[in-house]
Amino acid sequence: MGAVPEQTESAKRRRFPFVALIAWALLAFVVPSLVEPLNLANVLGFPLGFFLVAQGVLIGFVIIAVVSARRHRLVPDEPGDA
Amino acid sequence: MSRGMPSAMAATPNRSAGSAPAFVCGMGLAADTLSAAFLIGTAGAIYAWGFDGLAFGLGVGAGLLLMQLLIAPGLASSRARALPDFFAQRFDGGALRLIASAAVVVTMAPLLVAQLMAAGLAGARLLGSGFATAVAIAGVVLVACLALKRVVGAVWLAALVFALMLVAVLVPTIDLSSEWYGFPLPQLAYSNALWKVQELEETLLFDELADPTYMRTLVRPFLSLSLMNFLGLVLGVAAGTAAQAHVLARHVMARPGREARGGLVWALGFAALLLSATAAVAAYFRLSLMTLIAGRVEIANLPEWVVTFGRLGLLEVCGRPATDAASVTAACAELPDAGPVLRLQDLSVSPDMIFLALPDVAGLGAPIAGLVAAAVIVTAIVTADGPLRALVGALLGGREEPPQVLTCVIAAGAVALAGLAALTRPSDVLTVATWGFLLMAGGIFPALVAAVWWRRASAAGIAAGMLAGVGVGFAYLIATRYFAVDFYETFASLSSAGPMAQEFFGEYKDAWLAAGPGAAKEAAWRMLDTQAQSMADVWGVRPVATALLAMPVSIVVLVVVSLVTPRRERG
Repeated sequence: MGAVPEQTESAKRRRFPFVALIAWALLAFVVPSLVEPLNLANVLGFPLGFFLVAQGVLIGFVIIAVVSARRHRLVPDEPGDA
Repeated sequence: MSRGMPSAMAATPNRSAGSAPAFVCGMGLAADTLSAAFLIGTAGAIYAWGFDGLAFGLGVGAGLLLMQLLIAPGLASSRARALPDFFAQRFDGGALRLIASAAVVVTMAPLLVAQLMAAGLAGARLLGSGFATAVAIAGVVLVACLALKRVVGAVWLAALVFALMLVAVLVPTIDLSSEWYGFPLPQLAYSNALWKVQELEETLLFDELADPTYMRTLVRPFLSLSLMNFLGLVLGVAAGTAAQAHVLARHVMARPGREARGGLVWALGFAALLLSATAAVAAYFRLSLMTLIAGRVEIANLPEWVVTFGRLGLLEVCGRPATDAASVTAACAELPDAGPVLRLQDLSVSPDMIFLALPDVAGLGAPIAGLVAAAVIVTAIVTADGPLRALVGALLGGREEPPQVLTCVIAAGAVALAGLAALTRPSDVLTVATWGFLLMAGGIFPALVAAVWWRRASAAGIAAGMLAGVGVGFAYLIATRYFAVDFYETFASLSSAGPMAQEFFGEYKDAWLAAGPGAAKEAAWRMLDTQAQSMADVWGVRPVATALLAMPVSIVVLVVVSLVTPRRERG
């Protein structure tokens, strides 16, 4: 393991995004599984389950992406990434 | 290694990256990710499968986020030019580079075929030429673009294409939303169409204009895919999106981390905007079609677009391609239960047709129909460039400065092969592209995640995992599609087919064995093969959910082989 470095060092500084991934999995897999009960409600004229899978979940992904990119900015992970 | 490097470093000129603003990078990334396949395919999938078709858009969105969270942190500013370079840099391994290159070639090929199919369909629609001619023209343009080395501004060009894609989706949907509902936001206005479609579905059944077995309600989930297969498709498209070799090379590796992340956030936003509107395309198409049928249109009096798309092989009426009005009438007269009026089950609409045909079917006029077709052609050719470059680069084995002639010859060969494959139309455009995504999900995604996050991963483990993932995915896709009868008979005990399906299979098989040689035997074989394709699976995993098999196999092989081989030699 002599000449390592750079990447392992930066890997140490990089933290595995557990929370964001859990939120990702909830939106991508749990919401579609619940579509039938969700469809009993109506939102903006849509059955709620259909609306969430067609666009609500996508908006959720964008929010996770924005939040996680903001957090990341506080901890630069690569050289030259100031 | 100082963390406090001056920020000017971030602005070091970078290959192809230039210094485009984040939203331009995001548009380019979204265009290269979605490509013409998703542009025309998602609406088609939602039309054909109803709710279940939403899995594709959901998967792409999930995949872009996954790319940002798991892949980009390790790849941004890696100074590698392509995925095989990245693996070769991180691990000492010529063999690993070779295997990664092979994986890139196998996964990029379906994407290239899908783009050529999309260009061919839209080209044939716009020019009124044959499908083959349009595919050939698209292929020549594609190779010419590569030969001209149009690398400078690749990101700007892709961003422009994305703007064009947005126009193609939004112009017809905004037009219809404001015309029908007085509300020019299609993402919300189409809720009205959903209810109206539901009403019409009931009307058609009541008036005996639709057979209940042909009716797939638009809003009800899991009529076409089981929940497991739906989630498997989302997982496969997501992991495949996150591991797209050409997108990573063009938009992530060549940039510093912050720029790559910023681009990804914008890309996700733009993709969400476009994908959420494609559901409106599907809903409006269905509404127009059902209104037509509910109005008791006579078969002798079908609108012009029926023949336009029938000639492209995208529309069958009464079981035969609708190439001209006379043959439609003749085909329908031959049906035992035929009447003078068109019924829902008389129509067989290809998913590839929905996006291209919405302006015709909804009566928006020729200019908008032309705009949509032109946008699809441009998108297909520009977004085919990424997979083609990745494929050619992988075949050239990462040479720094390959001779221009060699590059062109290889590119021309690859495009010619892909064009020939496109001419056979193995399935609809989105399905063909999805094969590529599923192979990436099984073969490349686990390897990338391990290379970025798992320090114990070894070169041998990564290589073995990649081989296993691509191998299992490829074998499953090919076997269930092209050797369905043998596959089903071999794995009958694992198949999820019910007793009814098994009975049908037995009957068709007997009919095939009993049929005399010639046309009768071929027809019997087609029946048997179609039946077998609907039942060839293991534990109920449909081909679209292949990732459910390929990803676990790849991960297990990767982990086990890594643990029994020495640690990675380099960082």
